[in-house]
Amino acid sequence: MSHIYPQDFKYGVINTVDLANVDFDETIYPTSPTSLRYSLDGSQFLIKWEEGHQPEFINNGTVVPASILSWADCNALMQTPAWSEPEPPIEE
Amino acid sequence: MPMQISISNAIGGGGGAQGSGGGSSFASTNSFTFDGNSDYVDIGTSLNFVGNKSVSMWIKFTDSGGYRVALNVGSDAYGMYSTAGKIAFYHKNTANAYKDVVASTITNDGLWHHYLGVNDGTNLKIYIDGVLDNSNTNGSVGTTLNANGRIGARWNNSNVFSGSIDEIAIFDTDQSANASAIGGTIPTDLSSYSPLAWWRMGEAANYTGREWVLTDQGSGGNDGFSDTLPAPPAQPSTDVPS
Repeated sequence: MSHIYPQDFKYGVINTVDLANVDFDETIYPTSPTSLRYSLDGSQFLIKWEEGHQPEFINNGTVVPASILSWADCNALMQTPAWSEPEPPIEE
Repeated sequence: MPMQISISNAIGGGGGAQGSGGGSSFASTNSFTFDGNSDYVDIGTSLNFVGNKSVSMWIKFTDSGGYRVALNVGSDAYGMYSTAGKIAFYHKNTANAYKDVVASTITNDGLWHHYLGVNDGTNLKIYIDGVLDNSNTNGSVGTTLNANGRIGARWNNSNVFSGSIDEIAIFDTDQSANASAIGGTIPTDLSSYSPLAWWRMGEAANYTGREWVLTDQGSGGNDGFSDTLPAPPAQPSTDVPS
């Protein structure tokens, strides 16, 4: 099978209040809640899944993502100040 | 629900068998791709130390944005990041101030390049493909800052790197004299340079069904763990420096 990474994955931005409803036994990444990437204010986190394999907890409405994004769109979001420091903390 | 793919054996590759740093038939056959969104490898807290240090890695990237972290030890104690198409080597000095040296050369050309960052106690230096590219006097013995280190992200999982990384090593020595030997046209067996940590990024790596385990080929026993990098065949990549 050819190398498919990362453009063939979908990304879900999930509100942190929904963390308990995310089933990490489904085939999503990360596979553990301890490895999540959170927004800098902690209000949202990011999961991903292979395109065409959207997790059941989203399909059945148990969790309603704040957004579902392509790799490129997620990449743009992750570069915003809500998710990343704009510059390294350099001290002159 | 898709089937969870699991492999129990090391992803092989010439000289990269589990528990081996290389040998006469040394070759790199795999790398890991970091998605710029959520991928990273946890490398623990044990690599926090004061004194001379060097970081060696092969990187392939096209991103031209700002501040994406390829390696972070402790809470910004030292590592490498990309910014505006360049690679920088950084550390926090004895006064706990963040200092860096940014490469002079733009290298986000989608080709593999070798980077060696050196802190010799006085100078910060960055070599590209074995040649000194930039330096300044921001070096010092540094400081120790407890937080889990990351390959591909900052300590808090932010500022995720976008691109591919191969053969990443940390030395508790000044490797300036070996810059051209380590940073040739293809990866070399680092065993004779006594790395404190050396992750081959695909070789000597297992996917357990829940996470990747990257066996440290250096002397420190700091295995890397990742449950953000997807299972095979999405990872690892067979795209390597050649």
